[in-house]
Amino acid sequence: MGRYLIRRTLFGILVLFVISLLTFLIFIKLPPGDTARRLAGKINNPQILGQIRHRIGLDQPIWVQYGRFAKGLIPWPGYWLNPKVYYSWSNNVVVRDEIAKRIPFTAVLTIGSAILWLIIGIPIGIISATRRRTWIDRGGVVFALLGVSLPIFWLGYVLIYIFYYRLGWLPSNGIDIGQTWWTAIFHGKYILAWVALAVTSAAFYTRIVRGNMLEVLSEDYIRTARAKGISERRVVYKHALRASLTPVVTMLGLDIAGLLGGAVIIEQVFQLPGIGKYALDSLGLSDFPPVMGVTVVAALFIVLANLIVDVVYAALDPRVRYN
Amino acid sequence: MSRHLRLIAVAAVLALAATACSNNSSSGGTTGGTGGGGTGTPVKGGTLHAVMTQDFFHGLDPTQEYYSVSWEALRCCLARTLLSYNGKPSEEGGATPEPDIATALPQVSSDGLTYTFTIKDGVMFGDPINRQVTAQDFVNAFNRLGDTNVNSPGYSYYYTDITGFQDVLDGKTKEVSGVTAIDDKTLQIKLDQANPDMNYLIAMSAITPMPQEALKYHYKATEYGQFLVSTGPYEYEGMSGFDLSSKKPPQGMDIGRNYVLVRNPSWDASTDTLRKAYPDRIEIQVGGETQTLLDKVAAGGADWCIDCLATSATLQKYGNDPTLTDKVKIYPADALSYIGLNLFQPPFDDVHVRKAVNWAVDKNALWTLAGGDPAGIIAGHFIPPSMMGNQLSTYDPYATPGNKGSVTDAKKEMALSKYDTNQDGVCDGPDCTVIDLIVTNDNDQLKGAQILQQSFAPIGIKLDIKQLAYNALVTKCATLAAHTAFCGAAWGKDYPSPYTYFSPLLDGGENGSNYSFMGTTEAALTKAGYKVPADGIPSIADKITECRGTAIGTAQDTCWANLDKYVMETVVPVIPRRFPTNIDVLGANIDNYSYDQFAGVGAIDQISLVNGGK
Repeated sequence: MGRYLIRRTLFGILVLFVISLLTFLIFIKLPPGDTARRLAGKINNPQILGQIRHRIGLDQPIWVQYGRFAKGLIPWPGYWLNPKVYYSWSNNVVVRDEIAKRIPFTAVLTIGSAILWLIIGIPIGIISATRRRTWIDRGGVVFALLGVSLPIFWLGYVLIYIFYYRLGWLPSNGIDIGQTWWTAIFHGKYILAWVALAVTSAAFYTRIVRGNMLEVLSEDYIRTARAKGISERRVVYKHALRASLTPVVTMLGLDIAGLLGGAVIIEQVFQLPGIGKYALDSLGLSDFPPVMGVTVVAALFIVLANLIVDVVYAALDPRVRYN
Repeated sequence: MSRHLRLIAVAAVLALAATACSNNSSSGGTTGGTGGGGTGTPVKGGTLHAVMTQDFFHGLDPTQEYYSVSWEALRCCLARTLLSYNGKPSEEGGATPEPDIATALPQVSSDGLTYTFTIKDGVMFGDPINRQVTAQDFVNAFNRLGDTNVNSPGYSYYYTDITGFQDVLDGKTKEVSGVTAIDDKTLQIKLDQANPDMNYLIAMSAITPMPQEALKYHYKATEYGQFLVSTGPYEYEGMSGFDLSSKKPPQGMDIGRNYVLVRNPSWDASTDTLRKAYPDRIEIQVGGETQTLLDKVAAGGADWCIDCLATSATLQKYGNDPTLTDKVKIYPADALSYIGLNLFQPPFDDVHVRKAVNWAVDKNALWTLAGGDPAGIIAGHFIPPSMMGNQLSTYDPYATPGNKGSVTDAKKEMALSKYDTNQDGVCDGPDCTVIDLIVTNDNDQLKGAQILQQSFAPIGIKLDIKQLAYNALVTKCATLAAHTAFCGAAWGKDYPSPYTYFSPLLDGGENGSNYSFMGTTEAALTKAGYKVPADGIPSIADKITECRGTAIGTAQDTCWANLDKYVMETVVPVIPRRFPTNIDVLGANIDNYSYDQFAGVGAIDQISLVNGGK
C-alpha cells in the first residue's frame, strides 16, 4: 500500500503541474489582448506598458514566466503559492492569504449542502427502489428529473425572490458586515445556498441510489437472504444498502472536492465570499495569479479526494486491491 | 480602463419607463435638487447601509485609484486634499476646486511657475496618529505618485510639468525636486512650464497627505490604502489604537468584501466647509448583480447602491409609484459615448467619408437602444456641454430630422470622396468594407452595431461585425499597427476640464485611448504600415495649448467650444453618440442626496438618513 500511495502522490503532483501549465496557457498566453494595457488604466504609452510588463514578469521568456508560477506549486513551505509571485495584480493582496480567508465560506457551503443532499437524496433513492412503480417511486423520479434539469443559478435566484423578497423568511444574499463564516451560519446566510446546491446534487444521488438498489435487489444473494426468511427491512438496509452505497462514496468524495475547489455559480448568486467567487472576480479583472492559485488549490482537492476515495473504496469493497 | 466600465454599463439600460424621467431629456437629464425626498433639514446620525456591485479597484490607495466611485469615497470621507470639491452638481459649484486643507487658493507667481499653499491649522490626521497635517506629508504624496512601482494605474502623466517629476518617473531619483516643504505650514510647487489645470490636479485624490508613520510600513501599491490614515470626517473602523506596523488591516477595511467607516475623532468640522458628514457610520458591502442590489434597496435591505445604474425594471417600478418618483436622481455624467474613426485607415482616411458616416448614422435608434431619456441626450459634438458652461448645448453640425440620419446629405458628402469613384454617393471598392469590433456576447453592442450597419448601407459602407473579448478589443482599438478603422467607446472626465477629453482622446497618437491616432508621428505611421498623408498628420496639439493658456472660466469654455467645432467640422475623428447620465435610485431611508459632479456619483457624505437614522 505504501508504494501505491507514493506512486499516486507523484502522479497527483504531475497532474497539478499539467493543470497549472494549461491554466497558464489558457489565461495568460492564448487570449488576444494585452494584460499590461488592461492594468495600465485609461491612458498608457510604451514606457508605462513596459514598466508594468517588467513589474509582473511579462517581459520574461514564456518558460521563465511559467517557471515562476510552477515553483509556487511545490508543496513545501517557502514555495507553495509563493507570495512574491502569487499576489493579485489588481490589489496586491497575497493569494495564499486570501484563499485561506475564503476557504471556510466554501467549506461551510460544501459540507452543509453535502449533508443536505445526502439526507434528501439517499432516502428518496431507497424508497423509489423499494417501492418501484408506485406513486412514491414516480415522485422520486420526477424530483430527480427536476433537480437535474433546473439550472442552479435560476433556482438560486428563484429561492432568493421567494424567501427573501416575497416572504421575508430568510435573509438576503451576501454575508453582512460584522458576520464571519461561522456566525453567518446562525444568521441563516447559507440556508438558501445549501438548498439550491442540495436540490441539484440530491437528484443525482437519488438516481444513483435508486439504480444501484434495483440492481442489487435483483442479485442472487438478496434472493437467498429473502429465502432464508430474513425480514425485508433487514434485507434492504443491512444487505442491499451497503453494496448500493459504495459508488456513492466515490461520487461524494469527488463532488465535495469539486465544490471545495469553488462552487463558482452558487457563490456568485448568493454572494458568498468563497474561493469560487474569488476566481470569478479575478477573471473579470484579468488578474491571473488568483485564478492560477484557486485552480491549483481546486485541482489539489480533486487529486487528494481521488486518493482518499480509492483508499476508502478498498476498505468498503474487499474485491478492490491496491495494484 | 476601469472608469470606462460604469459608463459602458449605461448602454445596458433598456426600455426605461418614460414616466420616470420624461421631463428631463432636454435639460441633459437633470432632475431633482439635493433633496432625497425628505421633508426637513438633514439631520446627522445613523448608519448608511450602502452596497456596490464591484469593489474599489486598488484598495482605496489614493495614488492608484482611477475610478469614480473610489474618488468619491476618498473625497467625501477619508482623504482631504489641499483643494477639493463640495460634493454638489456643477450649477452649485461642484466642478470648481475650493480650498480644503489649504487656507486659500494657492498664491501663483506672475510667471505661473510657482504655486504656494498654506496649510490650515487644525487639519489633523485621524487615528492612530492624531497629529496636524504638514507640508512634508504632501511632499510624500508627490514622491509616491512619481514612483513607477506604485503609481500604475494612475494619472501621474498629468503632473509632468512639475519640476523634477519626470525624473522620478524615469527612475533617476526618488524625490520630486520641484515640490518643497518650506516649513510645516507652507508647501511650494515649482513648474517647468505653466499649467493652468494645477488647481484641478492638486484636488485629485493622489495629492492627499501621506504620513511617514504609515508609509514606512505600508508603502507598497494598494497596501497603503488598506492602512490609510484618514484626514476626512471618517476613518476605517478599528483605527483607534491601531498598530500601524500590523500586517493585517483594521477591521473596517476588508478588501473585496466590505468597508466600515466611523467618525474620525480628529476631524474638526470648523476646518472643513466642503463636507457635511451626516451619517455617523457608513457601511459599504461589496458584490452582487445590479438588479439584485437595486431590489435589495427597494426592499429596504440597503439604503443605496453606490455604483448601480438603474435598470429599466427599477425605473418602471419607481416611475409608476408617485411616492417613489423623487427617489430617482438623474444628472449629467460629464461623459461621452462615441465611435472613434482611425484617420489613417481606409476609407476613414478621407474626411468626406468621416463626414458621410456622421450624416448617415441613426442616432435616435442608438439612443433608444440605450434607454432613451434616462440614458442621456443625443450628442451632436465632442465635449459634454455640462463641461463648457453649457455652451454648444444645441450645436450639431450633422443634425438631421429626428436625429434619424440623412441618406441624402450622407450621399452628397460621400460623392466628394475619393472612395466614390463614380460620384453616385455610394462608396466603391473593397476599402468600403469596415470591420466593427464589439464585445463577445454583448447583445446591446450587437444591436447597436446592427443599427450602424443599416445606417451605413445606403452609402456603401459595409460593416463587418466581429466579436472579441473586451481586453482584446481594447488592445486592437488602441494599437495603430492593428489597422482597426472603427471602434465604439465611452469616456468620462478625469477632472472638470475638456482638456481631459481632447488630450487623451485626440492628441499624441497611440496612447491607449486615442482611437483616431490624431497627432501621431510620421515614424509611427510608417512603422505601422500606413502611408503618411500628403496633406500632413492632423493635430490639435497647438489648439489645446492655446485653450489651456486661456483664463479658466467663460473665456476658456469658449476656446474649448471653438475647438470642439473645429474637431467636428474639420477633422471629424469621431461619431458622437450620446452624453450619458448618472442615474441613482435611493432607498426609503435616505432623506438628503447630492450629486458630486467631480466624481460623477452621489456624494456619500451629503447623504442623510430620515430622522438621523433613528
